[in-house]
Amino acid sequence: MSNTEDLALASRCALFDDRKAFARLVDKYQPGIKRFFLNLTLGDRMQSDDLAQETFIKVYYHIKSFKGLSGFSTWLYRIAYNIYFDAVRANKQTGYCDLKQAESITACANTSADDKIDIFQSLNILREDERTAILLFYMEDMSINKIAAIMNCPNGTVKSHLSRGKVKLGAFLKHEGYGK
Amino acid sequence: MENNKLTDSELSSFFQKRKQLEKHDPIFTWRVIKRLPPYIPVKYVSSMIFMTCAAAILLIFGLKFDIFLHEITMLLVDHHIHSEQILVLFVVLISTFTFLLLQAIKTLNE
Repeated sequence: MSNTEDLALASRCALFDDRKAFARLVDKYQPGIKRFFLNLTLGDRMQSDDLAQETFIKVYYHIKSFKGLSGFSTWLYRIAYNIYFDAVRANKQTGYCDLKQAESITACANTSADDKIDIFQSLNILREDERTAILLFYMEDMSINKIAAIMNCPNGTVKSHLSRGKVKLGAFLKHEGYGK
Repeated sequence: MENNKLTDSELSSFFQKRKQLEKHDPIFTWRVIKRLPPYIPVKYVSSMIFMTCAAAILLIFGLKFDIFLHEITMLLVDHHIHSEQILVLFVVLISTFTFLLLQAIKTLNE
């Protein structure tokens, strides 16, 4: 389904309150949004499902404000990003650490095989914004421009989030034995 | 610090290997749709208005139908409209009304 079709479906939702068109949009984007939340919440499937539902409900209520200037997926992920950060702010759980902590975590790490390195453990060492940028870039294959639009920040900020995230992940993964 | 850096391809490979293939879940979609406000289509509202008006008209004229029939016949006769024409007019009116009523019921059932 192309962006034009997304736009057509969104227009049907906005103009005629077409539930079938909305269901098609939910069907199309639910796997990506659920995966995005699953990784952001470090594997909390119940919370990620709840957040995904909240996202689509919010999309429904605000679909008239979608002007089609950006792609529908960019707009959708931006809502998802805001919902996640609202949830984080609501129950402040800072699960990240700085680079020194990332390196120290690995002090007791065993040298397991590449495949055994847990993605959620790896993501846990990142700050929320670094995690978001890294996930959108590597997991959802989005461009820096698109990530900047989603995170509502300049391209340079996204690049620095990615760079810091890569260094932290690199430290963690190397010590975990990744690539050996 | 430099030693800690992983290349883009190494990181891509790490994430792609761990990319959870979330399946399309129809129950999830159903849950989302269920949480939306009740759906009130325009055609439903218009059908309801039409049905209410039709019921009101039937009630008003049904109660005094013989008077109404007499009055309308007299009116038509006064205007030199013959009884055959009155009959045709009534048939057309009743047919139109029945058609509209059936359409409204059909719309309600959709």
